[in-house]
Amino acid sequence: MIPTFGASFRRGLRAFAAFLVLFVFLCPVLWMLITAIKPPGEWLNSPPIFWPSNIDLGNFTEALGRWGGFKGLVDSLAVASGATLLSLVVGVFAAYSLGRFRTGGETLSFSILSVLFMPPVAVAVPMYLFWRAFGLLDSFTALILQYTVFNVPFICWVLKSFFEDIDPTMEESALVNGATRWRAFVDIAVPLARPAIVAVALLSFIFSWNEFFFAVILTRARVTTLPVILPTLMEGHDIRWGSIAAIATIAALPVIALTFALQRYLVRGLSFGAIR
Amino acid sequence: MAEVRLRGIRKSYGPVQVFDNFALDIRDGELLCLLGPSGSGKSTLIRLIAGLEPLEAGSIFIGPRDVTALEPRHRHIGMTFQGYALYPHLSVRRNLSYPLQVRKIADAEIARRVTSTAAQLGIGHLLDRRIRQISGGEQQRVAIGRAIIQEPELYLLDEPISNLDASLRESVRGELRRLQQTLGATMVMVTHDQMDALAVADRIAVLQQGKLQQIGTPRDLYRRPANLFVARFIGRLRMNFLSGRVAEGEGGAPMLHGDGFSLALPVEIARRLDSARGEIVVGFRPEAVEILPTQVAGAISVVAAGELFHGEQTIELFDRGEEQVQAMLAVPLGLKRGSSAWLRPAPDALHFFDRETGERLADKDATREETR
Repeated sequence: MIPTFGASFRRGLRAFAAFLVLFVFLCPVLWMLITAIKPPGEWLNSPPIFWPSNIDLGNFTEALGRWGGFKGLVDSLAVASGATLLSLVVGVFAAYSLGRFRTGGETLSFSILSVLFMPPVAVAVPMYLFWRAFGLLDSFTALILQYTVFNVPFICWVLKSFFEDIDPTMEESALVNGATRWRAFVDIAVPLARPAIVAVALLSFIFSWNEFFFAVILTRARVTTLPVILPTLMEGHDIRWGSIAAIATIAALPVIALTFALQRYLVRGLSFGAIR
Repeated sequence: MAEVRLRGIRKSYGPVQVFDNFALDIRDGELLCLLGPSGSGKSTLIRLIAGLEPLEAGSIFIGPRDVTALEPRHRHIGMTFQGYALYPHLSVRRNLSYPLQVRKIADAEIARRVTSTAAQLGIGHLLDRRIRQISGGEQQRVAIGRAIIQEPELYLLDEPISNLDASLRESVRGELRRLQQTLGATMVMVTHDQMDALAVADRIAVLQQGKLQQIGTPRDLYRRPANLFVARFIGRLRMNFLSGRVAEGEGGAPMLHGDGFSLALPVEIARRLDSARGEIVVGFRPEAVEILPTQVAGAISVVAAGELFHGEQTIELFDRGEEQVQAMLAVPLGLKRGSSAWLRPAPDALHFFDRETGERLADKDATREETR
């Protein structure tokens, strides 16, 4: 079929609109990347310099070394991975229990979700006092547990509905076929929920990776995640925009890489439910 | 090999009691159909036998073993589910081998059994496909394959035919029957379709609201329904029902009088009625009726209301006041709508029921051995 003028015009219009939207959203990212490789004099030049005169990787060495970016990267990875793993273990079991066995009826699952409705500011001071009482301020343990508290309700809520959507007779047939409850869960329920599990794992990782508020309150010098390092570069009158951009780039890379790596699960997982 | 005995079964869902003191015997090597409308408890019953639902009271025996307290995996049954319950993330091969892998059977033995089971069901060419990539009929074979590969003593099939296209059903009935006979296994099949049950079963147990209405061979149920419920439920065409009262006819012979008809009542039934009194429902199947142009003794006055042509047979529709009656004939009569006619049911094809209790009124060759 030969496309009519109207159809191809509409398609062109749509492509243009998509380009416009992408441009608006990706421009800051592009600017961040460019700034990260600019030498110091070109950061805030007027008129703006769109491509650096020579590519300067000094921002990265400065950010990683002098500003503690390397330690920040390691600490962020440790906190985000630790929190994601722990949240997944707790969340997957809890969600299966809520979804399959209606543990606690509607009340319990909703109470768990309600944790997310609480503004973080409301609990900041109590949580600070809480961790101080245990002597856990400025520790990986505190940060990982704190993030787990926020991740688990979200994971529960998403996976609960996902597990509910899996036809229970599939697990029942496994039981009749010789499996224990545990085997039926591992062999049938978990693989079927895999897209959703991957999606919530990624979102948990991103949340823990980005989190700033509690990281600032609960840590000092022993644990410094990347988001906490950024504002320290803006103190004083010599703001190191190149290093800031470099750290921001370093912070963005793992998340972007993970998203691309897990892309094929995300589409199905984020549609929250509806397998078959 | 295994017979199954259910004793004193009690089961409720919340406030709804499904079974109370329910008993059933399934014979070794038979194909028993559990037949009933939705909500009759038939699926619950096989789930109880499988151990998928907890029992409140009673016991279940498979062969000599008391399995009441055993987990499903220790009951040694092969089961298929209504939606087949195949594992969509695994290949056909892995679906078939799953029960053997879980039970840690040697790889060589698994491979051998997968090959022979697949060959037996004609699904050898599908082994490396995903479940989503095969048709409904093929999925049904895989589900059956996954049950028989375990070589169990007892098969439980939950609505195995219902999800199939009408064109497939007839051939699948035949295959199921043949398979069960080759395996020589005890099979319990749940169905809501009485045609499936009549076609394949050795015996049928009719359930309604957790009560066993009748158990017997398909012939028994068709020819001698134990009550009004079974009479209504069994048969491709609904049985015709008329109600009437007992009276004495000429020469003292007992008669059943109703609106527009009077039928001779068999003496055996009339004798039992002294105690029963009240109204009687007489039933006769559309396939056991003659249509006459004039009134004769034992005929029922009706008005022609139309015709349904079904090829090898025709269904004639009649009105009797508010009620409708139908008859099945080999040749269409071409009766004019609104014209009068008389139906004469074959005297030995009349079924009499107590209107109040719905129970069949015993006739002379009554054998209560099959019905309970």
